[in-house]
Amino acid sequence: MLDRERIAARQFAIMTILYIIGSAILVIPSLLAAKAKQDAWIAAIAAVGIGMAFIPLYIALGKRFPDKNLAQYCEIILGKWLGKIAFLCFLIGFPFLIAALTLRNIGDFLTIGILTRTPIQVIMIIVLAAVAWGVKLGLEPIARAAEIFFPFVILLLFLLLLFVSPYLQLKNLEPFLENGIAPVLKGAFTLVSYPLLEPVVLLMIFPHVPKPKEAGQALWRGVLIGGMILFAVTLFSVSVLGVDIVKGHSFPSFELAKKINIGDFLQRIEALMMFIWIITIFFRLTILVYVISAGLAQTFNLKDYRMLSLPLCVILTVMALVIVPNSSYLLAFNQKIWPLYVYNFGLFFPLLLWIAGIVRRKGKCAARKDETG
Amino acid sequence: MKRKLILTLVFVMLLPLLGGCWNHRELNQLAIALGLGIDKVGDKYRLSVQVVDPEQVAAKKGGAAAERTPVILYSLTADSVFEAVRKMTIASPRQIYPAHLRILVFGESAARDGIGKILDVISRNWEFRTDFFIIVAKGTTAFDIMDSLTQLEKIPAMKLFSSLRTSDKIWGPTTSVTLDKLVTQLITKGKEPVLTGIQSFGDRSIGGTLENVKRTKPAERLRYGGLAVFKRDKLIGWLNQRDSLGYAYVNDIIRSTPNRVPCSKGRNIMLDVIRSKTKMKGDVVNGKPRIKVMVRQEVNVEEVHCKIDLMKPETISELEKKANQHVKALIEHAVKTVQKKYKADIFGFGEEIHRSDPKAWKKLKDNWDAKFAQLPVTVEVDTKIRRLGTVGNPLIKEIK
Repeated sequence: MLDRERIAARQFAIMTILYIIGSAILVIPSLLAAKAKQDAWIAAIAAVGIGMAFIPLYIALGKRFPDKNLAQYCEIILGKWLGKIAFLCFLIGFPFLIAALTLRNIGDFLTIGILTRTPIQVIMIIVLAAVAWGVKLGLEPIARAAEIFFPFVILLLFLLLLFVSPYLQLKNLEPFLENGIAPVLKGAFTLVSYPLLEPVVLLMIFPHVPKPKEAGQALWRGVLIGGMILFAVTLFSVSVLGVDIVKGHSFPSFELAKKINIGDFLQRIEALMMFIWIITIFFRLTILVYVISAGLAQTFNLKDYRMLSLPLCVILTVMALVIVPNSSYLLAFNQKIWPLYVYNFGLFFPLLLWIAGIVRRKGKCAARKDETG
Repeated sequence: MKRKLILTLVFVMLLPLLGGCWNHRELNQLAIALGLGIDKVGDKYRLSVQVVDPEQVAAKKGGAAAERTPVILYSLTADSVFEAVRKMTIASPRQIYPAHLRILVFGESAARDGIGKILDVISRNWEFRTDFFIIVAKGTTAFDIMDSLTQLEKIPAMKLFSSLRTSDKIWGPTTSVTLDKLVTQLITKGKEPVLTGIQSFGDRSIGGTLENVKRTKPAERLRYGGLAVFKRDKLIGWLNQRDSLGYAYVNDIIRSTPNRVPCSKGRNIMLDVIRSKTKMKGDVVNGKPRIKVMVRQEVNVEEVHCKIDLMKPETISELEKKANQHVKALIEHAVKTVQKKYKADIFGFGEEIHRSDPKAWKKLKDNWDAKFAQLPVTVEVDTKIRRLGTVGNPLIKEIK
């Protein structure tokens, strides 16, 4: 049933990192600063800590069914029909929704920041064309592409942080823990909900890594590194721009890039730095569309998921346009609804599956054979 | 074969997209605005935009006299800034493009009325960057400042920009404020904004004509002078040069500045500050806030008017003490003036209290202006004289 596509653990880790950074790198500093103020960076660290706590659950599920993806063991655990229905709910309620929001995010970002008169549809369609093509090529090419682009993303990120470091003002981080720990935790849970609880969709890719143990390690590494990058960007945003600016801007890390000015010579390179966001968001979308396509193919017993990518992308465009009427709505959704909603699928769904799996004695128990082909 | 044909067709169809942006505007469709002046006229805003005339700015060999001015000034009045920018097209053949803006001038009337509303559109609009300087026209309108040609720097907005930056570097009592800095100061509790003032001297009637720059000394001259003190977003008064320097010391924006220190009766010695670092420390004792300002600076001797023996280490330490007193007096005077006259915390003392004692700040912040006026501020200065220049003892001492 399952496509015999294989990706290396390294590639899986890179995909996880790109997926985590995704669109969050643009908006997370602002969301964190809104709650935790100048302690946003502490919130980021706390969030990574909290986020890591969910990974064992995902890995436990993945290792229980080392050669099956989430869609398949959903059916095994819950029975054919209930499993299919539950998984469909998950698909629509989680990866699909995230994909639509991510798409909306990049559309908003480009239309607010740079291409102000370009219709948002055009941007979405161009991005999705690449995504659809990527998914059509399959998981292996996606993974290889991620491997190729990743060093550039890291290099540019490093340069971005290096170039703004002359503007670092540590006093922007004071006073330390002004309102106690509560706002910091509130901020942390924002980051936990977006994106640290979202790797659950990666369970669709997990079995494609030949050795579950390595896949698990890759997931750990990916989430940790992704989280650390978000932490670094938050720290730099707040200490360079000051909490008031970060809080007020929709895309603080873009503002950060605008700050770059090395000797009046190397300046106005934010368009170059946009490479970071475009690439990470592209991979986030590609991974999500892959997950939805593969999931749908599995649920409806289709032979191939690849042909689903194009129609899915068409639907996604419409979804992204309909789902959010304006920027304020998106902000309110991100701050109030998503942080609670995410637990349905990010925590309870896999937890339920795992418990049901144990109760119904499905899958491998503690004994693990790593050499499963 | 067919496949190849289709692919070629697709690629050809994709070609037009490579052109890039959706609403591309070529350089010859843009009016590049380098200077922007905003005045308040009654209920309306008067915008004065200084647009470059590319033909006149492009280097012309042979030194032929320019026929036209290097910039064009468009000015009109509308109900909002945004409207005014758009309305500009009724006068200008090209759309105003503000991304390269160097200087933004508020007329004194507009500044007194409040700059918050104006700053909203400027920070909201994506075409404005945040790296231009913001200044206030002292005792005149922004239009008058924009309507003046300058020498050496052909484009007046560029001259205003460079002049402020240079003055910041080596003179001191000015401060270059960019949009993000200003907005932060407006939002932050416990720190009121300050902008540098620009003044116009001389004969305004020909300031905007080429005649103005055809003389060794232009008829109308633009000069920076004094800082504008704001409370919230409204201008409430001005600091003189001495107090402006005091402000610069407290806020640690001094990079280099001359210190004039008395060395004997009626005579002075000039010291050049080459390095300066100010630290501020605040604490709250029994609910009463206080601030300590500590300045450390390194100076060189530049100009000596009295007959002292600079070769003696005692003289040097004597001079250091005097320099300390000089800077201390400077800062104390500035703080006192602002406390008494304006009651606006431009020094950021409140912010410092906030940082050092967030709990106490919560109680203090509501009535901070009144508390700021009473705030005890102690100043400590530590001056180190490093070098004496290329000669030793003062010439005046060696003269027979």
